Amino acid sequence: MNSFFYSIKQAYLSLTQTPSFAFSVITTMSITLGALLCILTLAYVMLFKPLPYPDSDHLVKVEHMLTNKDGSSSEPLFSYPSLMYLVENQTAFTDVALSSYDKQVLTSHSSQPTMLTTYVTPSWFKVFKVPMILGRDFLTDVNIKSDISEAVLSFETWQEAFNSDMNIVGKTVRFRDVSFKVIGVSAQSFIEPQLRFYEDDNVGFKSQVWLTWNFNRMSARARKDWGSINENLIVVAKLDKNSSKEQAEQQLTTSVNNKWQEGVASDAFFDGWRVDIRVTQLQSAILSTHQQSVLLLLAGVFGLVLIACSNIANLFIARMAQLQKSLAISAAVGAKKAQLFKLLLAESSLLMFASLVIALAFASVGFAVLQQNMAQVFLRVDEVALSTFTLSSALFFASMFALFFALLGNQMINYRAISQHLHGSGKGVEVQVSKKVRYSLIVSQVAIASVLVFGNLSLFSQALNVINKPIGINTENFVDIDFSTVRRPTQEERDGPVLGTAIKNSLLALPQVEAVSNSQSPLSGFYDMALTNVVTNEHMIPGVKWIDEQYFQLIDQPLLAGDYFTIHDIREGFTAPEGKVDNMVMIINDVLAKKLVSQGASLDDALGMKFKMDESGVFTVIGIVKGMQMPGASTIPVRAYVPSSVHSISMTVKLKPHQTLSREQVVTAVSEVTSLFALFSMKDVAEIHQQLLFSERATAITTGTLALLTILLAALGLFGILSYSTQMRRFEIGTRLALGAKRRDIVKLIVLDNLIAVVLGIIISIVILIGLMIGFNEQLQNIVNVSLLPLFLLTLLLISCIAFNACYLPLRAYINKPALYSLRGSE
Amino acid sequence: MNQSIKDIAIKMTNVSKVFQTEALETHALTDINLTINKGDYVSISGPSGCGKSTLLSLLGLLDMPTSGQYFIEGEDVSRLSLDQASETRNSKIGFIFQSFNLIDELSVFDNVALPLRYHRDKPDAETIKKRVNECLAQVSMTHRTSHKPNQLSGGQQQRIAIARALVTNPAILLVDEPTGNLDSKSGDQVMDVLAKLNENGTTICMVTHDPRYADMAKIQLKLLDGAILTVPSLQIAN
Ligand SMILES: Nc1ncnc2c1ncn2[C@@H]1O[C@H](COP(=O)(O)OP(=O)(O)O)[C@@H](O)[C@H]1O
Ligand SMILES: [Mg+2]
Repeated sequence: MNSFFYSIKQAYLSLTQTPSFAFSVITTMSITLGALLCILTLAYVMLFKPLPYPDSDHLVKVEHMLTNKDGSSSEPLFSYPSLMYLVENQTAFTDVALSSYDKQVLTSHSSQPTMLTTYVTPSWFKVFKVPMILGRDFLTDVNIKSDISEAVLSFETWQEAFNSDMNIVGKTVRFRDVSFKVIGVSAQSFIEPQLRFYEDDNVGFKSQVWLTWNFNRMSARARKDWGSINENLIVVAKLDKNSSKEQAEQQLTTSVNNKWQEGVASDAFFDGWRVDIRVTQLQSAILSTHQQSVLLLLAGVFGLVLIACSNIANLFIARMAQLQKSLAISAAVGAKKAQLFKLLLAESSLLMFASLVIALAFASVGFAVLQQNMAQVFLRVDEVALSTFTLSSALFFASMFALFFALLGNQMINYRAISQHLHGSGKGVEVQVSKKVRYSLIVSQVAIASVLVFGNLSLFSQALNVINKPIGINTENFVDIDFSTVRRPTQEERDGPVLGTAIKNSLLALPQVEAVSNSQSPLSGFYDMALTNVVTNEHMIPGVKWIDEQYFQLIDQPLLAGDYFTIHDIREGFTAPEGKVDNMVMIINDVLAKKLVSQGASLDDALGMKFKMDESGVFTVIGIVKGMQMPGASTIPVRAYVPSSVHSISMTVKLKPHQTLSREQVVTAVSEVTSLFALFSMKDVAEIHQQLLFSERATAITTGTLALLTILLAALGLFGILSYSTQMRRFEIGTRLALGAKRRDIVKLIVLDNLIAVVLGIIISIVILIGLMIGFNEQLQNIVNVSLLPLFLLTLLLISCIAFNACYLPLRAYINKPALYSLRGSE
Repeated sequence: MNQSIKDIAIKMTNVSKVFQTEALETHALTDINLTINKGDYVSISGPSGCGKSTLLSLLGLLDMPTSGQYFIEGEDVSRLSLDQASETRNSKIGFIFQSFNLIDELSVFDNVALPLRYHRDKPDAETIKKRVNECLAQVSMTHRTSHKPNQLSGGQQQRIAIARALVTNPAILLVDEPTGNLDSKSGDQVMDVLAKLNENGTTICMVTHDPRYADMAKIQLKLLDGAILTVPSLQIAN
């Protein structure tokens, strides 16, 4: 033990003699190790760490698949009656937790915030073992159809909206016009499972309030309709210890299917259809879509590690040359090989553990950055933190690296040269790194760097393409403005002039405003609604939006067939009375039209088709518009547009060129008309656009950073190896100069000499890339295309430029001075 | 004794060399005047640090003088660019180093051929082969042309280096301590080769501190503190 400390002390003293070596190693290693630990922890949490709930391996997601007579299946979505039947009649699960997500205004609160509310059954709190800091959660012994309206607040809601009111329990909160009694507050430590499987843009969703299940906003009709499916019904269950996923699937499929057939028996449309219940592990269901990005990141970071290792190996080789003399002296006074090795090990350990400490700090910063910026990309990123896993992998990697570099250094010591040195005979005792080692360092650097730079640049350019892709409509100078009701309207307000129109006119009167459409912004306000073709009984779920007659002209969304809405189509009432309205109009986009008409037929055939939408009534298609791409989406979604009501208080305002509109100006304008409405939200449409591009920007930033880091490390590495090998060849270069070689000849010599290694590295990178393309054909399908070829050439050009400069720059020291300077010391 | 320009191999007038290092100025050579005629065999000796190697590297255009003029075969080479110096070294000067300076990766043949590959006439393979073999014959090393230098003894390596120095038919051979890394038997052999070359007309300028070998030269210069001490018979040339 004593000798161990002695070695460490010696190593420390010797390193303080070469601060630049220690600095280079520690910087390279701590950056790399920090990135590695950060991504490794993320990968561990996302891929392996059990969900933070009791018996998490028994938790499953339950899905309901409809398959038609041709054998094609719908999205895995429940119909409300199927869901309730399953909950009340299943035996395979010990608990079934239902949830349904919504966004609504907390009308009882003075600032009227919009909140993310989640309707849950009592077992939801039991299954996820939600810790409470105040009050209680929902009682599990009550029927799930209980009509007692209760609310549980999240910790953040309690803090932010209720000022951490210790007496909150027992008070009442009101959403829209339903009151709920607050029964408890969840603890801050609760990590909410990300269960909204079908909405990519809502990853990272955090419920602000949980409400009694039975108050969910499913309409009375939908609750009875076996044939209509809804994406907002989410089922998680805990498997009974005695039953397997497969058994549960079989049992439930049989019983739910039988019941479902009875339910749709009266509807000839469903002849030959069937229901299948699918049960999957909750963990894999939650993470399946995000695994690929994590694996890609992991691959990128491992590439960085390889490059860093080869850089550091190179630094160690040069260091050995420097140490040779003192090693020789140690050997002279009797140090054995093992003792010399111990000295090297002490030195590399010291360096690695110093790097490790800094790396842990880098990793912590990385965690914070990930959590703040990547919550929408990586589920469970909230759980990423310095953990036993991080620390043990950090120790593992640091030890492995320390051992590796010590062994490498040991390999480099030429013991025969040492003894010759001691006997004062022989030529120099320079540590000569064999050409083979130097070449393989160059080859591996070039190969890894090419693959990494190319991979990152591909993802980077793909993300940039999406970011810069025109979305097909005009969003310039638009502001999205929403109002909310501050209180219940008085009788005069109900009977008086229409306030929606009044607000619209007051906005139009502002000098900056060019036009106002009584609709939400072109980038928001689509709701998935079930439409039923009145003739064929076919169902579809387009994103439906309520708009006024100016909407399409205002945003320049082109009409392909039929007509726009007119002022007469705008509804006068708040909602159409159930079943009474059957002559309303609808405009659809071309993507939906294509699905409606028979293959090859003109889209115009869709005009005149009639659709029933829940209790809203029957709509006739009168127009077809060109589909609009949503920012960040790869396909154009199916859309249907229906006329809004004169009472609608969602506005899209178009400003005159170079004008701005402030909150105050809007508030003043509206307060002159009415005191019923408050300004709820006001956002530039361009800002909404940016938010929708979030994950692309995250990708662009990550891959751009990785590409830059790779280029930097590869340049440093290549420069290191090549300047070292040039240094090794100094006397040869001097001799050639003495014999009459010109500068050009020397540059040619060195470049040609390393060209083979560089070309070999490039060939290997091509082989790796082709291997990857074959191996991950499916995952890479939408990434790989011809446009990557110039990008690959760019990568090669970049690497070649770096390699050339790494050859040329160290040479300048020799060829731009009289030949003597290279020859000196050769005698 | 008067000599025509044609017979002068090299000529230095008032050449000085000052090394500038941080605070210190080292006057390695001061006002050197030196003429070497074709066919001469000159030795330069003196104590360590007197400027022998510096003088030799100025003679070999490996470094530039601080002041003074230098002519090789009548051509002023005092102010050449790096590449021009390379070209002149290639065609006019043959180097023989104390540590041979053969390139380990190249065969004996390619080592000897190396100066021809940098030659401005770009001789063809046939010419190169003929010339290389001629020079190897002059140093009696025609066997082993495909060996690598490190497979040969020190004496053999130095003879290869001599062949390499001869290959472009230089105006002068510059030799720096040719026997410094050799045992006495190999050293003697190498000196015999040089003597024979000189008999056949090759001009040689050799640095050595071994008085035994210095005596083999026809003209012996002694250097002390950067200045030539004894210049028998040469001063007349000026
Ligand atoms: N590059 C240099 N920088 C500074 N001083 C030098 C340099 N080269 C040689 N000298 C100095 O010039 C003097 C002559 O050196 P050198 O020609 O090597 O002597 P010799 O070969 O006779 O031993 C010495 O004092 C030496 O220290
Ligand atoms: Mg010397």
